Amino acid sequence: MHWIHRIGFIGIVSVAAAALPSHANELSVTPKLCITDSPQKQCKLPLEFNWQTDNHGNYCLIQEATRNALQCWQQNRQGQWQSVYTVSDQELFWLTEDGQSQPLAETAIEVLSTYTEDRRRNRRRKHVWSLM
Amino acid sequence: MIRFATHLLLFLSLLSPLVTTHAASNNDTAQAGQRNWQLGVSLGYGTRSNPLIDADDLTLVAIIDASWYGERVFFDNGDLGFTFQDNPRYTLNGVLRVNTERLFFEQADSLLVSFTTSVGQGASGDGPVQDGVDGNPNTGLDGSDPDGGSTDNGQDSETIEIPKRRYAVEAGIEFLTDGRWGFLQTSVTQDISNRHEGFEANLTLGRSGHWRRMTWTVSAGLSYRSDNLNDYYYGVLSDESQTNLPAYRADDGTNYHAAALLRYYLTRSLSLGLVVEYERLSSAIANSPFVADDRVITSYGGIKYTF
Repeated sequence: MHWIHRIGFIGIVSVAAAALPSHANELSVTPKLCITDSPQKQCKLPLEFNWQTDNHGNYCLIQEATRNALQCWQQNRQGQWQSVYTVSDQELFWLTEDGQSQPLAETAIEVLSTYTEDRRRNRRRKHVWSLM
Repeated sequence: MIRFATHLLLFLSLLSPLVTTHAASNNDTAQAGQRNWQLGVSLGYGTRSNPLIDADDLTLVAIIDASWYGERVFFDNGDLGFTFQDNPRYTLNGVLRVNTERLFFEQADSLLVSFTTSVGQGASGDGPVQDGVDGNPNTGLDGSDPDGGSTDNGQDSETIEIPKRRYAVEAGIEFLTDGRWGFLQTSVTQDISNRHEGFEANLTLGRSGHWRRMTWTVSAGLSYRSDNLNDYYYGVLSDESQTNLPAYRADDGTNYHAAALLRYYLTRSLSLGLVVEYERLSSAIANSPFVADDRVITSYGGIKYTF
């Protein structure tokens, strides 16, 4: 009887997989990490976004925090957007269908600041253990 | 222990006027913002060479980077500190720390030293070193002494008992400053545990930077160690001397060091790090009868997670 259970399990998994969103919707950004020594934890740098989807359609690149569209495309299934952008701390970006709020894909860029608010941490660098 | 506590209290009481004056006049420290724990764990592999004869190098696998900074009190990787002044120009701290010299001796508790000689080489001029005179640090092991176990094939074996040394607790002052030019750290620490009763003065100059996903730090400096400090760890007392370990008095001396770190960030929390440190030991240490090398090299590579 075990084989009946196995077939049933495989069937359920297959149906569930078909119901999940396609993994062909992709959004990527380069670079994904910026290092700065500024106290504001901000980086102004050139970003390049690339995206692709399964189907042609109207899509927008959205900044998650403000929900503003940075760029929209008409009847495309892939696109690219480049711009000099100021990133703070960590920012999420979405690819959505035009007029929809549900993200089809998302990506993030992080800011790492070597500046610490406590000066003493920066100034104490004696230990090679700390360097490690 | 009582003497240690007395010294500690004396040290803190001497500093208390500075604290009071500063607290009344400057609240920069309080305004500096976030003060809390910082914890990181590195996993990788590295070694710290051991300059003692035939002693094992120290193996580095997991390294914990832990620090906590309160408004004035802080803990930073083994150092306890108290901040007297912290302003945009400089930081002045009182520090309490354990001298790490003892670590070398943990890897050298019992030694069976084997060495090769040519018969008759004993009169080569590398005689026993006394009182910090330049020469071969292992000259006591050159087979010149007929009691040293010299054999016809030139192989000598002698059990050498490296003198026992203990940890010392040191207290002192450190002055830190930095700017676009880099950073400077100076410190003077004195033994307060009545172990060696000596002192050490450090000066380190360095510079850090970043490029894309990488950060780097380079530093160089010197460390002056008093004769009491050097002699406690690297001297050989008369009652510790053995056939191949002559009595030795270590003078004061200056060690020089340089270090470089390269870190590549995979994410904000995860990074790959590579560090190399070179320390040149003073002749007073290098000439000790149980010191085989005049340098200590530390290297480590690993992946670090910062919480």
